[in-house]
Amino acid sequence: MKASRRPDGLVIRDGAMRIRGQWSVAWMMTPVAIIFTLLFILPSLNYFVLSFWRVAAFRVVPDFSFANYARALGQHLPVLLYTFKLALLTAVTTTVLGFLLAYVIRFRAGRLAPFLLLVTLLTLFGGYLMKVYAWKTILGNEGVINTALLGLGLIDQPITSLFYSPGAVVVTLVHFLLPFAVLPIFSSLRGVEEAEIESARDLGASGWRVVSDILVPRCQTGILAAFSLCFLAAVGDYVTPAIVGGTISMFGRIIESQFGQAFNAPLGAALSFVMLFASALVLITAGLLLRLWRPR
Amino acid sequence: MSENGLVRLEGVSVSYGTFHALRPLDLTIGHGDFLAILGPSGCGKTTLLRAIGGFQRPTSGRILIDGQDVTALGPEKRPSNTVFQGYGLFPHLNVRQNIGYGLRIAGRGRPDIAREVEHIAALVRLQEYLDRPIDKLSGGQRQRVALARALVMRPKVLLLDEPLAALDLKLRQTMQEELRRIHREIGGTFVFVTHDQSEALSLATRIAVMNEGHLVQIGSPEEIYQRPKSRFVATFLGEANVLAATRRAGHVTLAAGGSFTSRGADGDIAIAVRPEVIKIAPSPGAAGLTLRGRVRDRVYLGSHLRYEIGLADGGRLVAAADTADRRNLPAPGEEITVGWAHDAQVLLDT
Repeated sequence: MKASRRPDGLVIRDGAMRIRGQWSVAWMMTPVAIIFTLLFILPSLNYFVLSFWRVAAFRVVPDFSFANYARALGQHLPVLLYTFKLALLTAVTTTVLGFLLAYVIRFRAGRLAPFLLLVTLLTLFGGYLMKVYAWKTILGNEGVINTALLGLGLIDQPITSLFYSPGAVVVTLVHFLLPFAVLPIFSSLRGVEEAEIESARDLGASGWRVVSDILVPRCQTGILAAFSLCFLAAVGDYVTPAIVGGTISMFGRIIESQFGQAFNAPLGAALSFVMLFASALVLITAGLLLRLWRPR
Repeated sequence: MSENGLVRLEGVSVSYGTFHALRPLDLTIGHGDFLAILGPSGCGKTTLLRAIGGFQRPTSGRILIDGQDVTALGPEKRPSNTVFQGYGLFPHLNVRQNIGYGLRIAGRGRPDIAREVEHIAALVRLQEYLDRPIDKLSGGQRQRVALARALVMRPKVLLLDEPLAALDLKLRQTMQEELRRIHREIGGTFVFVTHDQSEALSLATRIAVMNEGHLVQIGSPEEIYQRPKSRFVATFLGEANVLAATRRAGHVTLAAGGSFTSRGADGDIAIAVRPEVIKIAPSPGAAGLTLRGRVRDRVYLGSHLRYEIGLADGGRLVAAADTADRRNLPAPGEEITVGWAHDAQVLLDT
């Protein structure tokens, strides 16, 4: 057995120690693996199988049919595209705003930086529904804006489209998701030295070129994490559209209804997998685009 | 143009609220100068360099480079380039892309950029490393990349912020020689900031000494070393004995004894004497001024002997005697005479 000296001075005997090390890693992973298998992999497999079954006379019967997928991609495709459009808009807006805020906290806020970071984190404690209802009091029919406009006599009827609209869904989601975008981007920006930015400026780069040539490529991981978090949260959300979206139909609401009123779990499962694959495609594309983003 | 200098600072100052990082100062840097801005940490030397580079907006005053007022211009619009203390290399680009970055922003063609990059890489001896990623370079190589990236822009003035501070002693000496060679080969104007007096003496053609936001003296290394104007300059650059004295009617008397004539206002003054100009037991007539003292300590340092001598007024005098001088080697405790020529001493303003 060979003995090797590690930089920290510990002498490790090859073989025995390494195997023991691998076992301890395995032990540490076990709880997570069990939870992940029981609560994610098994149910997912269950629903994957279910997605090929069908409903007959209010009963789910085993089958092997692609009819559910055909319906998902046929009848429900427009809603899927619309949902993705809103989710992309939300994710891009949130990532851009999150990037700006993270940049300010990292490079411009000076001594205020820890405070701003704390405030960003604190908004997470506000809770999701609270933010939704906060926007209702701002944008709703009896909300701040409509009341003010009515009081000023500028309008006779409350503007319904302020709330109960796709715009309200995006605004609410952006507000809710912003901290999730700021944190990963901020942590990547911490690895960027101020001298890199100053060097780029010194070599003639405008503010925009510093962002596109230095900051974006240096924060790839953070930006991708922020975008993914926001996109996935937005695309799968069915509570916000239900409360603030009014009549608009989002894919998540359709899936939810299949497991509820419509009583068609197989179709719900198929819709879920369609969304899962479509989301994966979006994230992979986003990752590739970021990787291709190189200074010209 | 060259009479007016390449870079001119007129009444430039920088303050943050009530803190004055830089007191109003005038400074002219000539074409081809290799200027060292020397001072202890916190003296404002980096602030001064950043003001020239465009990273620090002056609170007052103007900055001109080659006759053009650049005070309001950002760093991207100035004909200067900076080598930062931390280098600020772009870790997501390789050496070639790092060096070519500025040219690409300037919109130069690919073949043009490739040629310039090769040329400058040869100058800083980086040809073999052009395709390496930054994290596979040593400290000295990173230093060269930072230098090449700035030099490839052919700046009218190259600014270096503590360029050698991050390197170990051996590498620092090599890079000092490299910097001297590069300056000689391209004949540009270099301004560098350092707190290391030996670095300033060995590299620079001119030295600007700063202290507490003031520019206290500027001149050639010889002038600064041999004719320091103040106690600060005398003691910051090399070692110096600063002795108290009083002047009455053109006659100066040292507190430790000895006197000479010198015109000027009456009052307390100070004189500075370098250890190496002090002669131990000078032959009669060889020294213009002599003092009596007792040897407190004697240290052998190879090239010279370092004597510490207690003076009559309780003061201390350090003298460096040539080890080749086998004539006499007074031992600690011995009473001796020391002296120096009139022109070897400097009267200090403060």
